[in-house]
Amino acid sequence: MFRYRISWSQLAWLGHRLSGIGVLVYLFMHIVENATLAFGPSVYDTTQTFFRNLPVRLGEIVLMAALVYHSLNGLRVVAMDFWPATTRWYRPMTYAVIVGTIVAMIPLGLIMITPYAPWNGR
Amino acid sequence: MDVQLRILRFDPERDDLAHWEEYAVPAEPSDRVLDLLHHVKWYQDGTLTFRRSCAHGVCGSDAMLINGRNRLACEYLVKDAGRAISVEPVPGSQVIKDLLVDLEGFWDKYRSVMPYLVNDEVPEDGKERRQSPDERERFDDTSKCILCGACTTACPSFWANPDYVGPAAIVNAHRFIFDSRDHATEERLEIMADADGVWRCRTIFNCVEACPRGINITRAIMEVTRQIEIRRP
Ligand code: SF4
Ligand code: FES
Repeated sequence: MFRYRISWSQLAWLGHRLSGIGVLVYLFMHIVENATLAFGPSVYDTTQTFFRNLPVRLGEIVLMAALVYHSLNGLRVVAMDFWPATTRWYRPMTYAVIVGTIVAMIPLGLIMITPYAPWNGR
Repeated sequence: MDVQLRILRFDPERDDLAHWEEYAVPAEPSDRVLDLLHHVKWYQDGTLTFRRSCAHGVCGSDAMLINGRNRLACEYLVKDAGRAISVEPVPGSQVIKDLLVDLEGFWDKYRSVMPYLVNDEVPEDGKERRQSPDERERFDDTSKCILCGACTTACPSFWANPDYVGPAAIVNAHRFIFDSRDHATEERLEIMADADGVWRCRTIFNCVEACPRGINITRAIMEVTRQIEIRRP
């Protein structure tokens, strides 16, 4: 079955799964990270310093891309569920989701990277 | 010109594992992959085993994994397949020999959806069950199925769970569920609403991409799903 030549729509499904799992894992991490607040402000502040650097920010950009993709593709799947006739355009819809994710990530990525970017005078 | 044909072969009496074998086959661009298989079987190695009957895309017996996608060998031309062609049995299925797979499970699922007209009433005029062109149109797409199994064996959901009833069976359930003359809609929807029924569809569209009849299978699956949801109390 791994010999089967992958199509864009199969890739879209795989991406949906992976981004879903990724976002879920982040959610747990986020809960743990916020729960440190229960140990007082100093513990929380120390943990937060671990999350304020370039590698983590790059990870956050990937996370944002996963979120955007998962939402857009989710809308595509929901649309096909409610209006079966829309399945006729599954290919253009799949491409639109991929292109939409890339287009949305250009400004989002720029905004998110700015605090760490060389042009920010750091 | 010669085509390099790679075939994944398996002989249960001699092999533990399937292995590739290569054949140089003379071919015209207008030849079909089925012609290449015939050439191998008739002139190079008579033990090559595969199904085919009509050789014209009607019977649905020669679905195979050709160049990484499920297709009918009798419909795929050399000019589209290229000079190097690989042929394997359809995925997710028990191989009996070479390209021949066990389709018993496939037929069991087909039978499970009651793929026949259920209506015990005598028609109004005693002769015909009438239907308007619109009513006929409602299930036109799914009436085109030739039961080749290319869709079901291309489905990742089926690979992961062989108990999934599969796109082919749903297509054939759809054909009767939306037939105005049929009276077994509720029973069929019940079968489709099973845990291994329509819910296993993940809208991956491998079935649609594989169907040699160009049936919009995912649409049929979603329409059946909608019916189940609409009718739920
Ligand atoms: S729906 Fe298409 S791919 Fe599936 S069995 Fe019927 S003809 Fe073959
Ligand atoms: S041999 Fe009948 S469909 Fe190909």
